[in-house]
Order: sequence, then C-alpha cells, then structure tokens
Amino acid sequence: MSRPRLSSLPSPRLSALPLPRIGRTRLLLFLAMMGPGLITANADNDAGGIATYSIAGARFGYGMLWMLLLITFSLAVTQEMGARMGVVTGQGLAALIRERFRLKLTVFAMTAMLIANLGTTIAEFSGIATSFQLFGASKYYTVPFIAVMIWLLVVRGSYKIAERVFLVFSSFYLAYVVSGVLAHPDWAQALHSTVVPTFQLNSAYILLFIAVIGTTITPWGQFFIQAYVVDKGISIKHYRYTRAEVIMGAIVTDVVAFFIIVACAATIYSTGGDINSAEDAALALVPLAGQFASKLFAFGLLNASVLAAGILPLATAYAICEAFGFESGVNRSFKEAPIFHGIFTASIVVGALVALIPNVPLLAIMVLAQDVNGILLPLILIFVMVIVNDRGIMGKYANGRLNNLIAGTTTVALIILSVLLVITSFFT
Amino acid sequence: MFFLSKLLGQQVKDSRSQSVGVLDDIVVTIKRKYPSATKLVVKKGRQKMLLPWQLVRNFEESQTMLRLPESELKAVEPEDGEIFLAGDILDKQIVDTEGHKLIRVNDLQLARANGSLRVVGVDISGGAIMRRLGLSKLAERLSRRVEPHLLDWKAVEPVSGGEAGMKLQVTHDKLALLHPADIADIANELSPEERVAVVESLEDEIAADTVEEMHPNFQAILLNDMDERKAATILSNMDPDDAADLLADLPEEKAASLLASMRLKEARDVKQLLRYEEDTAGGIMTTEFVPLPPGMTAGQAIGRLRELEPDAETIYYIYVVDDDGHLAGVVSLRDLLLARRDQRVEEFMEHHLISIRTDTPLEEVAQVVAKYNLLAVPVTDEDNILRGIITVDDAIDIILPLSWKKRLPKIFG
Repeated sequence: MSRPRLSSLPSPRLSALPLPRIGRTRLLLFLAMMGPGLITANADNDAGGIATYSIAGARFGYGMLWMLLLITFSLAVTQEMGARMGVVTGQGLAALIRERFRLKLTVFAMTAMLIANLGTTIAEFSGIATSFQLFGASKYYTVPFIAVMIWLLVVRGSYKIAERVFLVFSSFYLAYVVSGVLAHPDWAQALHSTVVPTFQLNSAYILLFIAVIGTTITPWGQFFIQAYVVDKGISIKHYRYTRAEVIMGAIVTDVVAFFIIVACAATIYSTGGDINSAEDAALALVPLAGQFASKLFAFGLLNASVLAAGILPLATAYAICEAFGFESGVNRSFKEAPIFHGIFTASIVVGALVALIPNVPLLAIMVLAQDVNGILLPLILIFVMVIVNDRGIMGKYANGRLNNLIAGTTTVALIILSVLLVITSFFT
Repeated sequence: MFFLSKLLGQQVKDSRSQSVGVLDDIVVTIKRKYPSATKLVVKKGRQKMLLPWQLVRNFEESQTMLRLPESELKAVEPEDGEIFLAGDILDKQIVDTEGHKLIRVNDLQLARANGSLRVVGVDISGGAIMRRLGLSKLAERLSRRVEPHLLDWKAVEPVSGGEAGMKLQVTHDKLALLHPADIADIANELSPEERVAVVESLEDEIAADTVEEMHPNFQAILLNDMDERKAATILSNMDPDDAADLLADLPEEKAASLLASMRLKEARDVKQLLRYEEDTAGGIMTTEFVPLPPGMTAGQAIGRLRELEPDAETIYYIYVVDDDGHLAGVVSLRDLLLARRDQRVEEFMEHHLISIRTDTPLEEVAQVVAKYNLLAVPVTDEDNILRGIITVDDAIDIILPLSWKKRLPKIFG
C-alpha cells in the first residue's frame, strides 16, 4: 500500500512551533493519569468502611485512630506496588500470579480472592438493604430491584457515567467532616490518640482491629488498581503522576476514615452510646443534619454501596477469567463468555440473597465481611510481594527496602492478629 | 500424542534404569514450523540439569530413558532461538493469529515425529485446567464433556512475557500478516514495552496503519517511548490528520523534535493541520485530496489520477482549484468518466458546491455531510482557499464516536 501525497497547493511558509494544538498537553497528560488512585480510594470507603469506622468510633472513641496513621502508609505502599506492577508488566495481578506461580497456586489465590470479594459484595448489598430500611422501604423488593439495575447497568456498559455520578456523590463524606467539627470533639485527645498507640487483648477489639485494616487494604483493591492502571496504558515514563495520585488516594481514604471515627466518637462514644443498628450509626450525623441524620446516612450508604456492588462482581469475573484464560468482557454474550457472565451474575445474586435473609444482622455482616477481607489479605499480599520483588518480572522496578518493610510488616501484623483472634476467642 | 502437563514431573532414568531425577522442562527450537525438542531439563532435588535431546533413548508418557549412565551425563547450555516450554510458554499469553486475540496457554500438545518430539498444538480449554489439577474424572462426572480446545501451533505466535518475550521478538512474522486493525487490538492488550517491541518489528507502512488503529490513549505513549527515528517514519506514513492528532497529545519538545525528523512534505502537511483547533473542521480534515486546474481536459485529468494513484476515499470527488488555490468547483469520478476526453473540467464541473470553513464546529460538519449525502466535503479558509477535505468516514466518527468508546476502561465495559 502506497500513500502518495496528493495536495500540491501552495502553502504559506510555516514557522516552527508554537502551534495552537501543541503545548497544553502536560495538563491533559496529568488528567489522563488521574483516576486509579482516587477511584479505588473512594470505592474503598464503601458500606463496610462506613459501618466499620462508625463502630470503631462509637465503641472505642478515639482509641483506634492511631491505626489509621499506619494504615495510610500500608495502603499507599500496597496500592503503589499494584500500580507499578500494572505499568511494568501490562498485565493484571491474576495474570501475573498465574505466570509466576503456575496453576495450582493460582487456584488457591483465586479462591481466596473469590471468598473475600463475595464477602464484600454481600456487605454492599447489606448496605443497600440497610439504607432502604432507613428510608422506610422494605428490603424485600428494593434489594432485588437494585440488583437487577446494577446488573443491567454493567451489562449495558454505561458505567462511565455511573462512575462519574458516584464520584460526585462521594462528596457525601464531607458530611462527616462537617458533622465531626460541629460535634466539638476533643481535638487534643483525638490528635494524641492518633500518634500514641493503645491496644486491647480481647476478641471483640481484635475483630474490629482486623476489620479496620481489612476494609481499607483489600484483596480486591489490589486486583482493581492494577487492572485500572493496565487499562489506562500508562507507561513507566509517566508513572510518577500515577504514583502521586495513588498516594493522594490513600491519604484521602484515611482522612475520610479519620472523620467518620471522630464524628462517631464525639457524638456516640462520648454520650455512652453504642451502635447496634443503622439508626444508631446515623446519630453521628446529627450535629450536621439534625432529625434528617438518618436520611443523610442512608443516602451516603446507598451511594457507597451501589458503586461497589457493581465493581466487585465485575472485578471478580475479570480476574478469574484473566487467570484461567476464559473469554471475558461485558461486550461478549453469555454464550461467548459463559464463565465471565456466570461469575458476575452469581456474585450479584448471592450478595442480594444473603441481604434478603429475614432478620439477618445487616450491620454485623458489613463488619464481618471486612474481617474476612483482613484475614485473607495476607495471602494475596504474599503473592504480590513475591512478584514485585522478582527482577525477572519487574526488572529495575522491583521493590525497594522501604516498600518491603512496610508491606511485609502489614502482612505479618495481619497474620499475628488473625492468630491472636483465634486464641482470644477461645479464652473469652 | 502427549500433553506437556502430563510429562512434567515424570521420572527420567539413565541407561541402568537408575533415576536421574524428574522431567522439569523441555527446550525446543522455535526456528521450525512445529518447534522440536532439542534439550530436556532434569531436576533432582533443587539441582537442575540441561541435557541434549539426543541422549533420550526411549520416550514415554510415564518415563524417559536415557542412553548413558548417570556418571557420563554432561550438562549443556541453551542456545539462541531456543525456548523453555514450561518456563516460557505454559501458563503464558500467546497470540491466536486466527482468532486475532491473546489467549492463555493451559497446556501444550506434543507429538512424536521422526524420532523427535514436536509441539503441535495449544490447549486453551477449561478441561486442560481440570486435567492439570487432577480433576478430570470429577469434571467428567459433572458435565460429561471435558474436551481439549486445541489450536494448531501454526496458528499461534508467542509474544509476551519478560525474557522469553525478548527471545521471541524476532519471530513476529505471523503477526505481521494480520490486518493492522487486528494487530492493533492485540497490541492494546500488551504491556507498554511489548507494544513498542511489536510495532518496531513491523514494516513502516503496516506499523503506521497499526498505530492509527490503536487505542487513542496508547498512541502518544507508544510514540513517546519508541526509537525516535522509527517514530518519525511511522508518523510520516500515517494519514496527516491522524498524525496531527497524535502529535498534539505529545509533550511540546517531543512533538517538535519528531516533526523535525519527519519527511519534509509530510511534516509540512501535519504542521498545517496542527494550526487548527481539534474540535473544528480544520482539526479533523485531511490534506490528502486531488486538486485539478480548471483548464485541464477530462482525458488529462484521468491520466493525472492514474499517475497519482490516490487512496480510494479521496478519489470520488475531485476538486477544481484555480492558480491561487481558490476552490472553484467539483467533479465526481462519474462526471469525469462520462465526459468526452477533450472536454475541459470547468465546462462540466459543479459550480455550486457545498463547502465548510476550517473553523466550522464538528457537529455542523456532520450535519452538512448527512444533509447533502456527501462522500466528502471540502474545507476552505476565509479566503476560499481549499485547505483540506473531510471524508464521510471521519464525519461518521463525529456522530458515532467510536474512538470515544474505545477510551472507556475495559473494567467498566
């Protein structure tokens, strides 16, 4: 094929640059890189996040704030590792696990991810059920309705718009910031607790401790950020923008978490209350919203749950198909990609069904799912750590010592906590 | 027929039937159509030893017998053009050149041929996964059909994966035979480095077409990461409007230096297009059109077209332009063929033609093309000088923004 140049018109002499369309790209490039960190961060503060942080603040006051400071480092480091792996290899985490660890260990890793993700999906649908109950609508018809809507939304593929809408709605978290301030918390006490660690050796405390970690750093978050970065096609030369954004995302996540805990500590813990239901949890928003607190809480919970209830089943299906080489993609029909659609649909169905069980303790489920995440997280992190340190895969972008120290400490801490949990639950 | 997964881990015995270790991997040469085994990797404890395939006396699914006693075995090194089946291919992604997509190798099928062992097929089935997990019986009881989904080795091409990728880079010949749009689809799935390697291995024209078809997000990144001379050649071979779009997405210094390395003529076309804002007619028009002087005869005009061999999409309308470049009229290919040989184009050209200005907004461009059923519309500047044309396919892209759709992250559908 030859492409002769055809125009032979006299053209005015052109000076070199600047030309109008060149030269404003640095900003565009940065904007194109935006997304992975902040979106994952926002999706991290889902139904389980709101529930877990609320209970942490209500039961232990400012006592658990110190964890957030450490978790921020762990989250930033683990998310950065995932993003870097995506940029360097152009492959998702599931694919890398398959290539590095072969089939049998991949089945093991994928099973862990599947359980964690399914737990989280159940938590999201529990969040949806809870929020509708606060609005006074029965979960028995709202949950199936939303489940079908989510399924259609994803299969029809107008997800981009949904994602934008939810990102805007995510400013709901500002409500906690305002409410926390209006409740006049004991700032000195809060800051003191943020830097000075305290610990209790009982199963209730450890359970919540694991949940707080497990709701922030998650197996699915590891898979998700890497898939997102791969999709964006970011190259290592532009990676510094992505890294900056990932770190920013980790900070945003934990600032939100900080204010949820502070708001709950100032309004519920300080008055000697506890959280046993969603109505109790909504009390944290009273200083801002007064009698509308439960409506505001319901709105925020619904928004947070619906986005994640769509992303999680989708991310699960993509990861499993990626690992085993099955056809995937929402643009493929059920017949072309049966396993993909099967996993996606089944996750939604299971999530919705569990939330529909009569008298099931929805709030407890939301927290429990975060424990499942926290307990399974070390498994996934070990796979991540081995791959990100493998110079055959990562070349000169393999992990440095500081990264290994922080991610390694997180892994070991979670394992120790899980063991402690088992031991303490026998003695209490 | 053998499956690689069944062979791995089986006993390797020496000429005295003493165990030397287990089969850990098979090395093949990829220079043949069906790669044949050249070496075997034997693992004993933590030690791995590479042995030449000539030492194999008897090869069965359950065990491998060697010709020499263990004490006489000598380890060798892998050579150029050789890859490890388990290490470099199994569980990795390779290109299915018939299905035009990346697939994951769940198992490899081998066959005995002339005393050697050759790779004949790739199993991508879920059944292969069951087989490797030792769950075949269970799966059969559940579904009754655990059949391999085999692809002929002739139809696949390994591309990805770290060091193996480097070894395999030279052999992108099967990939190069695909349609550029299909190569682009596959390249979109690769890592940024692999993408560079694949595009750089292609011939200039095909590379240019491939880049044009690639995910818009990846184009600028790819060119930015590429060897600069190759990048400039690719840009020179692209449609000027696509090249301009791409350059506008690059950092200023990079765009300037690429423009400077491009062929002069193409660089000038592209620079001209870069003067126009992206969301105007000037931003999407192409400078590839056929201008004819009004005094030319139909016969001369047809001769001129033969000489230029223009692209199909630019030939249906031929624009008549005076000495100063002013747009004077248009003739269709049909008019030209039906006219008498000695008839001058100004005698039968259409004077009242639809044209748009370089600063016309895109929606309006699409409306004009749709309203008047045009295959192409000429674009002029404020002095009525013809600057370019917009063909109907580019106009369709405005209404039906496929490129926008392609920008959506896959994880969101």
